[in-house]
Amino acid sequence: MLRNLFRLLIFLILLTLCQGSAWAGQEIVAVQSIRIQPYEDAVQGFESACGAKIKRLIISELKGTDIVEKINEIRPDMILAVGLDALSRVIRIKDIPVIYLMVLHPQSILSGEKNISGVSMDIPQEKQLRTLLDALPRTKTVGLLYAQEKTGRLAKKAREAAREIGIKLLAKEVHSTRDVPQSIQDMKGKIDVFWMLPDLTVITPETIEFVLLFSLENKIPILAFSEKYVELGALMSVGIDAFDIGIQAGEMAEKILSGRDIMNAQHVDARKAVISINLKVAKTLGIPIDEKIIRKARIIN
Amino acid sequence: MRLNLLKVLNENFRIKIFITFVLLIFFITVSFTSFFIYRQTKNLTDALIKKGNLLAGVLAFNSRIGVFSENKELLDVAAEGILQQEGVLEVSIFNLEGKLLKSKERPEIRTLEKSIRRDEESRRKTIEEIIETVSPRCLVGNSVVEFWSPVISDSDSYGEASLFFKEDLLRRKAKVIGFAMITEDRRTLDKEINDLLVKTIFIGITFLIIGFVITYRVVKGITKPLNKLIESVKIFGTVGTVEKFPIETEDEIGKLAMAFNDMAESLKRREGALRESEERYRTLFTQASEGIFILSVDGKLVDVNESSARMHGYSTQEMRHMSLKDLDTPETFQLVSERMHRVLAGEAMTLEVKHCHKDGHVLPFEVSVSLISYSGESYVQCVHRDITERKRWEEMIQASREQMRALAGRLQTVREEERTDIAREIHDELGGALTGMKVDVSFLIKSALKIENEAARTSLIAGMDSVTKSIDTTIHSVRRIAMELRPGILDDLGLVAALEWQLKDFEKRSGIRSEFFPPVEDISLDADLSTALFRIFQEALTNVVRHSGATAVRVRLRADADSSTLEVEDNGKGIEKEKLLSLESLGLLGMRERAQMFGGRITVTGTPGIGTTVVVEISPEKRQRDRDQEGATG
Repeated sequence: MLRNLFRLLIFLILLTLCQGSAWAGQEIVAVQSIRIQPYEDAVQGFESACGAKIKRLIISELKGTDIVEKINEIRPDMILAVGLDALSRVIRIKDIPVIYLMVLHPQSILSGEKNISGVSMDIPQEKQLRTLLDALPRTKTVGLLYAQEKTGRLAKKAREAAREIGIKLLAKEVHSTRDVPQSIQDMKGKIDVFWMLPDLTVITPETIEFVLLFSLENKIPILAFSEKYVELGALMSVGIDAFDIGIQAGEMAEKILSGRDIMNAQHVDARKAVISINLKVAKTLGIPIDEKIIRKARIIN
Repeated sequence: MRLNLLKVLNENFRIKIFITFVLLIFFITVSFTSFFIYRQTKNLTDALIKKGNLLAGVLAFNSRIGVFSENKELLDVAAEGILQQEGVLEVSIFNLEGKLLKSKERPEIRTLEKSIRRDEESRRKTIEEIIETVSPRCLVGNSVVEFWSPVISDSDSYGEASLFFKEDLLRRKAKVIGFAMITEDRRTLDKEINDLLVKTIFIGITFLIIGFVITYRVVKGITKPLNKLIESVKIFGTVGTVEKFPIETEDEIGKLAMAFNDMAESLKRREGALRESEERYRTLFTQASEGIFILSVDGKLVDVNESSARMHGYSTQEMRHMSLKDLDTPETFQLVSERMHRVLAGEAMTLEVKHCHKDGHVLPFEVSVSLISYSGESYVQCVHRDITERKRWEEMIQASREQMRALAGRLQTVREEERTDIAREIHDELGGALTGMKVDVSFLIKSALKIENEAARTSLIAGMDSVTKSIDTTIHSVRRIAMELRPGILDDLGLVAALEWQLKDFEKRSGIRSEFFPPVEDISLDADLSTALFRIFQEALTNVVRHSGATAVRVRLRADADSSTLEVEDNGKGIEKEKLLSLESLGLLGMRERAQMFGGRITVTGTPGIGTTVVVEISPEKRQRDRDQEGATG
């Protein structure tokens, strides 16, 4: 018995050593479009979760270089695509596993590639609505604008979540940015909260200004998807944690590199949400925020 | 008129200074006013443009959403807000294609000209320029100004990352999506500029007037005491005295007045001293015992004192109308021109002149002439003394001297004649007697030879020989004495032979080496002159032996038709100048006297260490002229 246990221990040690040496010899090329802090945080999170050697390729710093050719020269064991731009470039590579992160709508460019897995920037709509209700329990009707081709999927999820939670969702489709001011004006008096979706048609510098003014003028708080808008005047946001997404992706990479999930694509949402609240806006709008949610949130003053 | 103005300007310091300052103030005022108006007009225009651009920019910014969404309702507030601004007549907002999205205007714009309003083509051109430069534009018309500003949007999304993150790298590129245009009333600016112009000109004119008044006061303040001072100077110049100028200030004018007072005081003192000096001079001039007259440089008598007038037999009034020509004898006047030149050159001289008395007789004067200056002009001052008496005495002395010289000459002649006679007598009589005695002694010796007593014979013959020798010695002495008294050779063979004989005799007796250079041609001099030259020659040789310490003597005799020159040169120590002039040098005096008797002269020169040269020059022609004159004057 003791002898068998000793043999098992030796086997496990050898197995660990073999695995460790295999990771130590593997290389991951991290491709990212630009060098911005959220991306850096995500890569750092990835590195913390995955022990493989990571080589960085910043597209904006490799002017005129074909990233695919460059990757083919390197022949890494895995590609880490940080952001939509990086993913859209490495999508042509079919024989190397790709992990993406910091991508909002990966489905918009993916078409069932087997070698591509990743973590999107989506936070489940239900989670967002529940967080909203924790902060603003009196919310009955939530309004949102969406462009079908951009955030139609999210709007659908939102509707489902609202139905699940039991609040009314007033989702209005816009066809162009020019429709936004009028569409949001039409919601005046009909909604308690305006839910801002990450839609490039709806959210532009001009419309965000208008939306924020609309919020202040009509005392309608805004639930945003990024702390950036909370700083500009939205009441609160339920956003992503880039470092945690990196860890999430790193864990996924670890599984793939260990050979357990090779060519078995996985697409998951961000698991961690970061709540940010602008107390000044809350005060201006005359909205009391529950202390419990304040303690969990990042406070913007 | 122009000349008069220039004359007034040239002569009137007050007007000159006043006009200068007025012109300066005018220039400064006009320059400053022009510059101020220019700057203010530019500032106002710039301010208008800046304000217009700002309003257009604000309108463009506020119109972004409205232009982006082409929502006229959203543009309404922004346009209305800008239209409320003062001076804004019209507000228009266009999309990128130039389509008018919103336009608001004030009613008064319809009354203004629309020169600046563009047709579609020119508007499109303006829009193209704004798109190209992405900067506002300003179009200035006669009564309105249009300000165009691009409506800029950041709508070019960098990507979905920009939705989440605020990093600079995610900022989007600016893009022109439309245009905001406002029209401003330029009349406001024109009105402000006109107001400014009027105010500035008013201030300029006020400054000019104040400047004129201050300048006038200052110039008057300066020139008033100056004019007073000028008046005082004029009075001082005319009267010669003036009351003290009041010193009211301590500035330059006060210092000038102080200096003027000091100058007046000093001049007064000097004038008093000058007057006293002139009075003293006048007293001296009029009361001087010597005659004084003042000549102009052209020879006219300017002033004359009593003594001078009295000497010439005229009154002072008469003489003041005369000239030098009227006073001088013709011989004296001939020299006036040359003397006047020397006097005018600054030479002071004392000379003798002859003037004609009023009654016609000639008066000798000794005149001291000098150049004087009076009132800036040159005059010749002549101080003259009547030397008639002195001349008479001089003539008497001269005559006496001539008589003495004639007497001395006569004495010399007589002496020579006496010496000649004595020499001849000694030579002939005493020589003949001695010769006879010698013959007699010869006979006696012959007779003594016949004496048989040998002792007696021998003694007698010896005595006879001694006598014979004594006689020979005596004969020799007699000949020498006779020769010394009067060398016969001078009378027999002439001066040249006599000089040569005398020189050889001198060499033999003194041991001083001698050379004689006779004239190339024979000369013929009368006996007296030959005697005089011979005696001078003898005296010169005596001086050589006695005083020179010479070792050699060189003698030259030259003669031509006009003159004879005898030169005795030794190589001794050289005669001293003091001895030449000493009254104790009787030898030299005698030599001079002898030479002068024949109209000649002696020059003795001595160079220390080199020797002494005595040159005797006698001109027979001159002597003849003197003799002729003596004969003529009796």
